[in-house]
Amino acid sequence: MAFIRGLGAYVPSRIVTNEELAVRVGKAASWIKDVSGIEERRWAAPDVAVAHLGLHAAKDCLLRSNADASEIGMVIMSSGSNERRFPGAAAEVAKGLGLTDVPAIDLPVASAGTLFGLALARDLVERYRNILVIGAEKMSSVIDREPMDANTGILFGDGAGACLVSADLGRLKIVDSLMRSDGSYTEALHLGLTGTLVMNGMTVIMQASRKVPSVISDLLKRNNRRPESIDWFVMHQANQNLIARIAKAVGVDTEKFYSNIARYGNTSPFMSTWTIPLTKIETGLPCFEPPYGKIAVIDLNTNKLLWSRNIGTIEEMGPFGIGTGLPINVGTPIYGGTMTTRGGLIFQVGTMDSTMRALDLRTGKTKWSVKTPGTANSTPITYVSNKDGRQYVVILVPNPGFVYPRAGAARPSDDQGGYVIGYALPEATAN
Amino acid sequence: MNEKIIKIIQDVSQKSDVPAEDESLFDSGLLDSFALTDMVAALEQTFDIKVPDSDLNPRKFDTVEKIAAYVESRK
Repeated sequence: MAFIRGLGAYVPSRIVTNEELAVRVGKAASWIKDVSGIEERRWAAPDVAVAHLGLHAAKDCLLRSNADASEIGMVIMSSGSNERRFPGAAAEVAKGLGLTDVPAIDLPVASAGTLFGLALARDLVERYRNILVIGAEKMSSVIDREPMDANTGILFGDGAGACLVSADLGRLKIVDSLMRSDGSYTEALHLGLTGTLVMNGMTVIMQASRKVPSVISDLLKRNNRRPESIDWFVMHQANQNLIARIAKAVGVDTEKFYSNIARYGNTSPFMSTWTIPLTKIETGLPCFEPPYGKIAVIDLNTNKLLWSRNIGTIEEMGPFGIGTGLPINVGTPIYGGTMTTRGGLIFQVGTMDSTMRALDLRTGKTKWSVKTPGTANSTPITYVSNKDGRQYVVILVPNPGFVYPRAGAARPSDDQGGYVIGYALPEATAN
Repeated sequence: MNEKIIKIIQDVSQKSDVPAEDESLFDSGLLDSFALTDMVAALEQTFDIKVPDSDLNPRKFDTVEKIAAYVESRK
């Protein structure tokens, strides 16, 4: 068995807009969007290497998977833009994670590389138990920039994605995979040892628009599934127009094909944002093992952890937005802040169970809790009223809440506005 | 046949231009890579032919003349 235990991503901070590139390729910014669906992409700084991008994504993945690097039995990394012929970036990333005795394998495959890595990991995971699959590209260093080539310059972005494949942990099972290669068109898209990326867009699009739907259909057929029974398709983010044509050829709405190309361009390691569609398919929870949300208190005098605990129950979370009703304190994602009082209470909101809590600063025990009309995506404030001398704690419950609607609402937004709620502390307890 | 081909080109390009038989459809801007893909699918349907992946070469579909010759060869 093989499972996706967790995912991670990294993109450089610099955003390159269509407006910036339009001037350099002598076209209108709207043309770039029309021919590609791309609105902006990220470019890494000149001194950033492919391995750096990959390492960031790898660390993010481990954190989100609640996994330690020492659990990894193999690293597989795909990149078409690695700076060196050998060694590849896989060994460098493994070293960056403190792993100097596990096999680290490179796949010099652009575009489909991460999917190939994932499929290989599925086949190898029984032996290596936990395999970290990484895709990273620094395409900005391999395109023609001076002068900028209009066909490739607008298309590509830099970034990295990572996925931890486990033999026994994770909520998403990898059921089947199908890989194919056809070397007939190697001249249509290639990067030589010197020079920049060469692309014959027409040939690439013609081949991809035939071959991708055909491999999807074959995989579904052998699993006795019809395309319309699939919730989400996630493919390499090549070009929005290609994604739309492939959806049509497969016979499903384009909306069923996940797309992040507008924001990140063609990054090759498309896994960078898998977290988004995967959480949608499932329960609204991230696709790795809980806890997702914890609260911890550290004594800054001694630098010691005083306590930490999971916070938030799954009562209101479950498949298809139907709450489980179970008061299991798994620790939900938290979208809100805390406020600590001099008297030693922590007021805490933002868990996905529509609850506000007051915790004992010293022990972590819940001293008081109250149900709120929705997730309070805010940070509580407190004040003592000049008028009556009493102390109040105030929170905001926006509508819609960041993830979950107010309890009982049919839709995330019910157009009813949110709440400002104040709680008065008992008299003569102001602190 | 040429009229049918031109009609297909106009449909997929969403332009009403009538290309000369030997005019490059790519150089004239009538077809881009996506319209080309759509055109091949439409040719298969209209003329009841099958274009194998190995024939998906833009050069075979560059002019109305070439398209007509190709379709004829597949019938």
